Amino acid sequence: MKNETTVLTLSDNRKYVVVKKLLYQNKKYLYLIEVDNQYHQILCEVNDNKIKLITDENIMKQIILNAKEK
Amino acid sequence: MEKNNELEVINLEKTNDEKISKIEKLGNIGLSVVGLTGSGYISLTTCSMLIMEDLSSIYQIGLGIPTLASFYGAIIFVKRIFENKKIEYQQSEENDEKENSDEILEIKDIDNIKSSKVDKLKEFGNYTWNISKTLAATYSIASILTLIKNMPNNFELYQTIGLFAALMPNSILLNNSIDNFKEKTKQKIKKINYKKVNQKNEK
Repeated sequence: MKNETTVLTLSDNRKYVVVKKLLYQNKKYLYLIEVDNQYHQILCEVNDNKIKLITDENIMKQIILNAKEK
Repeated sequence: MEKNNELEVINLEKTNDEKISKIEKLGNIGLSVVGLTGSGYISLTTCSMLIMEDLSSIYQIGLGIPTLASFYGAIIFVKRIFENKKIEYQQSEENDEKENSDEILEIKDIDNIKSSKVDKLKEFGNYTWNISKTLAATYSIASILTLIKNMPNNFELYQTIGLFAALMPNSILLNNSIDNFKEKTKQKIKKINYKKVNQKNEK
């Protein structure tokens, strides 16, 4: 049986595939790719229902290289 | 509502859709590449763009064609080696049958023996290698240009090094095998000549 993939619809009215759930310094992060435009990829911090986009490349680097898969 | 880079989750759904699974898989490959190289930050977008462009992208063509040509060349080459070995074996058997005859093989220049076959083989190998080389060179120039333009992005460099690493032994193997084949044939014919001359002298 295939594993199900999570798709989020965000308030920008776009659908995103949840590629990876990450945990870094006790914070939850999601690596998302937009379904209709795969060039649009975001790394964001999750807090309940709120999603905060990470735009600083240095922080992104730290998260990607050091985060644990959740 | 979007505010200061903040978004809200409106809906969450689980799906088995193949397109969605593919995106997830490719995204994970992108992340793995970032982790594997470990040499620094690679833009997620650039990295995944390269992976996601499928067969239509220059990256895939640049990497795919030399690899395919190289593999195809290797397969044809091995096949021909086997064919040549078969011919060699058949000729050896024929020579053994004629062992008692007075016929003496007088072959001085091995390059003339089976030259058409060897030349064709070598020509094919060179042709395949030249295509690979040209494409690899084009690809590496593009990669170097990308590197100069965007220094932190080392992904193309790794791919180019990998490509050359994959292709170089193939070319060396091809040339060595042709030389080995020629050398072995030369030795074998020398042996036959020596045997036959000895037999004649004994008589």
